[in-house]
Amino acid sequence: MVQLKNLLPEGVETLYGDEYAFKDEILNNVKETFRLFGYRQILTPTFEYLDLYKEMSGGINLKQMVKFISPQGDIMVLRPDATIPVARMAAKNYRDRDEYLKFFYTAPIFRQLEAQKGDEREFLQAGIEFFANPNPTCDAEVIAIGIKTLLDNGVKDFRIDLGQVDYLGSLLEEAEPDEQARKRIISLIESKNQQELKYYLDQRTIATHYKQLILNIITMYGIPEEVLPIAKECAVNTRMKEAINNCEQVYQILDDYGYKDYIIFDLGFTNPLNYYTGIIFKGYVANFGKAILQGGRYDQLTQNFGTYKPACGFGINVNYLVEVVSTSKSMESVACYTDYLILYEIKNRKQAFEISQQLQSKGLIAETDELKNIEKQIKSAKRRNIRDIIKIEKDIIETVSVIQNGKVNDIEEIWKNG
Amino acid sequence: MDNVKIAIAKGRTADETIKLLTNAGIEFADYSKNSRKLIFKDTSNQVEMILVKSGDVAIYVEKGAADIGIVGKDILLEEDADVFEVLNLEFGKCRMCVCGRKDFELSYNRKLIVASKYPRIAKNYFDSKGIHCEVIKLNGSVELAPIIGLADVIVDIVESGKTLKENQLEILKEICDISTRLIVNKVSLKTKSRSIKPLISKLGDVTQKGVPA
Repeated sequence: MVQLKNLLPEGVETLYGDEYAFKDEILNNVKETFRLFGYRQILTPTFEYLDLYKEMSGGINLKQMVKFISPQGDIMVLRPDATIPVARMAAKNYRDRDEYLKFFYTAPIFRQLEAQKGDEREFLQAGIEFFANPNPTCDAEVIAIGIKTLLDNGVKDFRIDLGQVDYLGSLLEEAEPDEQARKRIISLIESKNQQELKYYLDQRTIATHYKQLILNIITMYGIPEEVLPIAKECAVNTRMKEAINNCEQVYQILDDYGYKDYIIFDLGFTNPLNYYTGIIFKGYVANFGKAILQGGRYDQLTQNFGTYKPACGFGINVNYLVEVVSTSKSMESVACYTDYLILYEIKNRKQAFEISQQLQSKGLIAETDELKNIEKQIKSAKRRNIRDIIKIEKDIIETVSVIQNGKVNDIEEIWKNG
Repeated sequence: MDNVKIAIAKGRTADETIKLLTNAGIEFADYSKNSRKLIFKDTSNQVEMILVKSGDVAIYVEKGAADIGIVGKDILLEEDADVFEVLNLEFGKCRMCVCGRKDFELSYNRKLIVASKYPRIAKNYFDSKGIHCEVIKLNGSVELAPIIGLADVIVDIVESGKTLKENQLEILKEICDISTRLIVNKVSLKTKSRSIKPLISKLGDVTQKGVPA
């Protein structure tokens, strides 16, 4: 009989020691990058009412939310997305203000994803949200910070894929009145399924010139110099033209950041989180099959909370980032260790604690334990990556080096001073 | 150039897939039908081929363990894979059908029992028709189910219809056409586009010309 108490639920993990330190260092790098651009940390609750997410225009698949029922009978969800609660905060708490709001967060995200596909049901996400700025400089800044986040973690071979939801969106609104059909077309474009899209469009009564345009969008991806001129040529209405101008502007600003070479375009990609209204983007790392970061502009989201604050933001999957970084960087630099283990006879216990406090006050890691079987204790110290042992036996202090670190002198000094 | 990893399905369509790749100039010298090997390098050392069970091709590609996959549309529908589906390779053609005994009559009064290797496709189809059904997942010899009385109907792929006929079953409804597709990982298409784009267009050209059987 398998006892559940011995098992972890699917899609979650435990993390400790070196692995934790490795992840923590990466997370700290990410936070530092955000901080240096003037973003300020925000905390939103781990669980919220289902209604917060259900009533948003578009959004996360209801089935993928981890739900429970509150004692009052309300359906609650564990944070399935970070942006919506931050948008609510910006809209509610700053409703009478019009200055820029720049927030960052690091938070676990919960998704009840399909079983047995190796997906994480709890993962750490870090991200920024920039409110009250409708300009392309805001989009470009957010993307630039995404790029800087990867660079600051030593990731070099990556691309940021830019799209603009209004380009395809406005074309479809003009060409296809039926919403279900639009959804189907978007999903075929999303999977770059040209043949089936053609077949589907032929069954609909869509004007021929629209059909060709919609089909063209599937192939509008690649480097900016190739994609943007074609996209410009195909822009048949004002919103499409504006969308492509917007892409060009953001691209030019990113050029000034020095990040031109990281940018590619795909005007056929959309996002299942359809609160996005303008630029959207995803970050891809070479030889890593999943998008590591994604984001975009969402100008309407705050209106759900009664204020209009145009915004742009992105989130990076820290679990993925850790996976990517660990392929090129060893964990040695963050390996957990202890500088000194002080082993004492009971009558020297007080002295041992004094020494350990002095070591700790110098920033050295010191542990204490009663002296029992020294061979066994050395062996265990080795496994725990303890570098030196200080032995106090019969009032005599001596050091036993477990892993040579050249710091033995400290003890003599401390002993002299003490 | 980047190395490209391609996952292909063992079994029914493997030979045709290899033929298609050969025609597109990608040759695997050490591949033979009876070999137990699962990983092959092509003669140019640019493409690596892995042989997996057909139902697993989609997940290999979705997760990025393989950049490209060649697999039947039936698997893509069933796995609901998040991949780019860039080409219809026009072989391995068959139809996804609802089949049952000749005298089968649909009744809305009770729930329909459906047996299938494709529970998702079956469920989606009957849901879309507003027919209340219960799907039993089977792994093979699905034709037995309506005969023995395990299920009212089955949902399965039909190629020639011979198996159906021999078991006194017939096609009641066609759900969709099935054929082999070229799928690409959503990241690989962008990060390895210099290798993958030419490969897609080569395979596209070969497909249009038709693969000699």
